[in-house]
Amino acid sequence: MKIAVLSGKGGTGKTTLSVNLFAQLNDVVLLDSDVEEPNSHIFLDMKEIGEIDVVKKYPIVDDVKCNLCGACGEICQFNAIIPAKSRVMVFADLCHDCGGCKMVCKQNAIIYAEKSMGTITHYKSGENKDFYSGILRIGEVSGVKIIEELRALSYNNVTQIVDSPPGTSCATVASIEEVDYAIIVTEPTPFGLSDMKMVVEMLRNMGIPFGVVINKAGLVFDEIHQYLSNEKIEILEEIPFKKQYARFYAQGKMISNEDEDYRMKIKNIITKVLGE
Amino acid sequence: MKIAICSNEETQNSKVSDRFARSEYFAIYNDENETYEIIENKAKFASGGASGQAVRILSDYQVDVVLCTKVGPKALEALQGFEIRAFDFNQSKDVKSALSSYLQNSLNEITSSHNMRYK
Ligand code: SF4
Ligand code: SF4
Repeated sequence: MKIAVLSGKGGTGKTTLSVNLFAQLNDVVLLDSDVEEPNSHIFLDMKEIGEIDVVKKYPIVDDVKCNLCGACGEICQFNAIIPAKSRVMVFADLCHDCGGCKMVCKQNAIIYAEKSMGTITHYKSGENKDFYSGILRIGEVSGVKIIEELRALSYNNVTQIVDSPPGTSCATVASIEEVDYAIIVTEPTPFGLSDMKMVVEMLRNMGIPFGVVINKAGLVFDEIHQYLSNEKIEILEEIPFKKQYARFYAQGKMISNEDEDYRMKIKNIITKVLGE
Repeated sequence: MKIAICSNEETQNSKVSDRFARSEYFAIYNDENETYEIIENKAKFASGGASGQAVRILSDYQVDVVLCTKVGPKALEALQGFEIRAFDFNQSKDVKSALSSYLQNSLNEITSSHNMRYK
């Protein structure tokens, strides 16, 4: 079973929930797909055992063959290749590796080179659990390729927890393709609600079943409950804000290993989602 | 010769904009007939690569010189590629004062980029 943990925006406690689910499960692998801001590794005391380089292709233009016709610049949606006065400029880190420019170049002036766009780091815990964390290089614009490679690694039938990028970007969509279930983490605030609605829409469009975890429950904002009951969306759990949680968090401790209430809530989510 | 000034509003009386690729408008001054044409900077909507697109727009309008303030490394490379020179409008507050400082030769050419975070 493959489960994604999502949120409408950053900072709702998505990573905290992901790592705590991971901590309370056996036969589990955690995939940090939030490649622009991966931070699961901060909360996990694990040994690094390997690193995979993720490369992408980007165009190189042969100035001799190029007649500055402009076709490549027309087709590129990302402003990554721009025919200028006397030569074609390529901004490799903006390139999404779509192959369009090469296809339209009648002069055959374009070849592709490869560059590293990020890495996937493999960690192992004392209990022999695997954790893979994707990181996009600074300046690179799209983490989709790294997320696809994370997805393509094989994980022998264990439960997969995917810490997805926040929001509804291409990277988010890439991270939840092929998941069986999604958990949306939200906060009971007006912003939390409006961002969550977009995530709900995305999941419905993709036909992925989901439930919601309300983090920092207890803040006074009833509309979120109204919305969820109107839409018949299941609330998996409500996690209150407690000072000691923040303290454990700040010390890099796993809350579910320290606090009984919290652990029960995580176990309850696991039961509801996995039936374990 | 055409001189573009990064501006906030769609008027030649606008304040200057300190953002280059995400400037709201470009006020383009033509010194042959001493008139302004104000164009919207469509690059400001780009999700990525705004600087290259902004420079391409300036080039489409045959701009020779742009008055702005800090520019990032991609913008600088694109400006060089399109042979558009950039000058720092410095303390100028509005389009007209920026232009007159330029015409009096009192602005410095921008030759190095400023490292900004591009999204
Ligand atoms: S399409 Fe080919 S020939 Fe035309 S400008 Fe681009 S690289 Fe040059
Ligand atoms: S491969 Fe696609 S994204 Fe990259 S420069 Fe060519 S057209 Fe643009």
